[in-house]
Amino acid sequence: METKAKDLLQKLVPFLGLFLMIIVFQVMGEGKLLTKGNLTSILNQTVYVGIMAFGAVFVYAHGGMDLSYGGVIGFSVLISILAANTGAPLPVVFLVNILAALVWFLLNGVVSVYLKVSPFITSLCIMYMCRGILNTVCAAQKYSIPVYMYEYDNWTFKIIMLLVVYITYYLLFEKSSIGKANRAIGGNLPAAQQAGINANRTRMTAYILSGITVGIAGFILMLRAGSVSTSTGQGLEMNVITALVLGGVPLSGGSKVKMTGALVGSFSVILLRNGLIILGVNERVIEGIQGLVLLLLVFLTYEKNKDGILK
Amino acid sequence: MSKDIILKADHISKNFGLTQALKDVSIQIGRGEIVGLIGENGSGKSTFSSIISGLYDASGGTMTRNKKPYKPANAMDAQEHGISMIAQEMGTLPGIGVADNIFLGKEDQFTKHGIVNRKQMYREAEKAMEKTGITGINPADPIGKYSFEERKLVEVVRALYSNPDIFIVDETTTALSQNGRTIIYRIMNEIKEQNKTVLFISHDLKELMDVCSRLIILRDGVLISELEKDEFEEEKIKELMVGRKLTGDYYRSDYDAGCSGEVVLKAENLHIKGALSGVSLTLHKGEILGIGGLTGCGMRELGRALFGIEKPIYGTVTLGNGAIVKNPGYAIKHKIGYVSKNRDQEALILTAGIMDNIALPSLPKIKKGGLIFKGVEKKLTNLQVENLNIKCREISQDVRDLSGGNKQKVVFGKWLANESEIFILDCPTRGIDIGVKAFMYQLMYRLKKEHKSIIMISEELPELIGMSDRIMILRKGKLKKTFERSRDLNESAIIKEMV
Repeated sequence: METKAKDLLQKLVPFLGLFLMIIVFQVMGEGKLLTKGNLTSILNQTVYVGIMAFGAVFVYAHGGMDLSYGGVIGFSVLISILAANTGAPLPVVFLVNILAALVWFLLNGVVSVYLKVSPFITSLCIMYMCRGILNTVCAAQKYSIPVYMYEYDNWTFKIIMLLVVYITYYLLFEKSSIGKANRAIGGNLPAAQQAGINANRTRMTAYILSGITVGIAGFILMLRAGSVSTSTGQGLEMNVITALVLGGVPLSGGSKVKMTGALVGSFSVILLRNGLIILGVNERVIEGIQGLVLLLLVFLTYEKNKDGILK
Repeated sequence: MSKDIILKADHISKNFGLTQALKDVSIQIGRGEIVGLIGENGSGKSTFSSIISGLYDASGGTMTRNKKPYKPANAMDAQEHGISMIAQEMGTLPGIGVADNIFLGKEDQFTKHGIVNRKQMYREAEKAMEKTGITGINPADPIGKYSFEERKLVEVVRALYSNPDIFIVDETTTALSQNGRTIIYRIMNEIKEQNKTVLFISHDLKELMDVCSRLIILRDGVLISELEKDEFEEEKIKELMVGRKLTGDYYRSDYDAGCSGEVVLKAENLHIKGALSGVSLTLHKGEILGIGGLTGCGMRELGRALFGIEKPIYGTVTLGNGAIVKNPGYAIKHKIGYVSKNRDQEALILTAGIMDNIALPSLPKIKKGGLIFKGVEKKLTNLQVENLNIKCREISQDVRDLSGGNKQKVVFGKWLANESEIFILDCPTRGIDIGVKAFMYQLMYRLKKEHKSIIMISEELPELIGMSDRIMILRKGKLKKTFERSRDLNESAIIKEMV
């Protein structure tokens, strides 16, 4: 009974953290946190960070590491805006978003999984390549979406997208063999292979699933931002990783990785940033605080994973 | 026991949370003896040696060393008091040299102005190895160049370098071949000759009876009995360990080696680089095929190749219907299960629950419309937990918290849950106590009666002789000889073919 209570407490910590942040920011921010305008802003950002985190869970579960989210989502937004300006209909633009992100994730997967380059390095390089493309293309000219598309940046659409992607990825991760296989690989690669899991194919599938979510998030970001610039998506990789850690996802992967963690954590990271803004903290300082919080959390969870939090 | 007491433990107890690992244990150890510490898993023998060697603090009781109070702060402190230990789980550090491993933490003696004099270090390592009589290891080599067994010997050299007068050997020989064991026994005897003391912990009753001058038996953290050499008697010791009379036979008692003629698995002319050169075998339905040999004879690689982990450079592994076993996934789909010798490294996900481990190979089977339902997984797991009598709090409990025997049961549970027809077992009873061992033998016999087929790779001749219908002995990657099950088969006939 005692251990059960402890397990339960561990599961509840991410929720308690979120709850605590809400109270602290609400009180200290003199009630500015829970206003309609601010909640809208929080939800807006949570949608695309969350959707990316749902896919990221698969890669992190098998012990992978990915830093490419910000760069790839920027690239996805750029390509889809260019496509939209050729007059392509919305569903086609949506597909272009996914394909543009998927190309990079296929490359990421092939290089990390089959060519066995450290996923950390691979994804870092991909982030830089995407940034380079954005810097080149967007330096002289700003690209915007056609005006008619703005009306799709609405709540019904975004909430539905968030829920549909969450439920789909939840089922894939918690209730199907692909999620269990990724966790098994993160737990013990030889044991997973000896239980019949094709490790390369499983890890590759994780990259594909992650690429799809980055594309979907790119579509939502495109509608919301309306345009693309050199800074589109910048720093989002950090938000995704912080979301996972705040949600209690061990970065070393394995069986303790939970999809709910990605959902709770996404709200937490956006709330953290938003709350600090309400308290009047400078945007640049917030990045520093976020880095510190991430390091602290990784450090605190270090003891629980004997293998270390990062491989 | 000699009158000269070297270490005295009085009323030692140790608690881990609510579990009491040791209860009021008082032991005296004298000079010039090899004391065996024996008991089932969880009997407290490793806890006791860990307290002596400074890894744990005792929760109660006192120790006296050479008539002075002794309370080591850590392993280093214990070593300074002349107590060092080698244990199963410890090991050498990969990626550095042999000499670096021997002098780990003691590099200062070779350091001048911040620079390590490597030549001097190698010379000293050479000397240390000579002193223990270990040859064929070059101190300048990277440790990774050497086999598991040679690395263990390097550990022994490291432990003996500080010239301890109490040397603790904790479950080390289990993983070694006969050859490696002989070396360790020799070293232990030399220590005894020098009027120093060895504390020897092992699961292997036979080796304890051979090597030790005295045996201390623990059960459930309590000191049960102390026996002098002339009181050693296998049946009596087993009874004392288990606390009840062992009923029935340990191994199977029949000598009927008959099985159906139906071939279920076949290997033809297997070649594996550096391990096998042209080995063929056939496994029949309902047969227990034993495979034995010395470490490095190729039997481990043979087992891995049969399961599709290791790819042969020449030759094939086929099922009864002629289909080629390409990889573990294919093997599992065709109802083959594999129990690795390296349980914690290869057979289990230690940080995952019992259910996640047991259900893993069966996921494709229990999938319904692409989804895996928790209820089905639970049912599958509970069945095996009951069937194998796995002792656990709940099926979501992490496997790493289980004892060795229960971990091994989880590994078996994986393959039983998948309704395997063929079991490839690599040292299936390694490092587990007598109670669970007997259970495993009964289980194997039951599987045979259910017309399942078993390949048992083992370094323990008694179990090969006791369980197998046929025994294949490999030597240097080739099949040396096949023995049929018979009442007259004895160890010496087999050893002759092994070496």
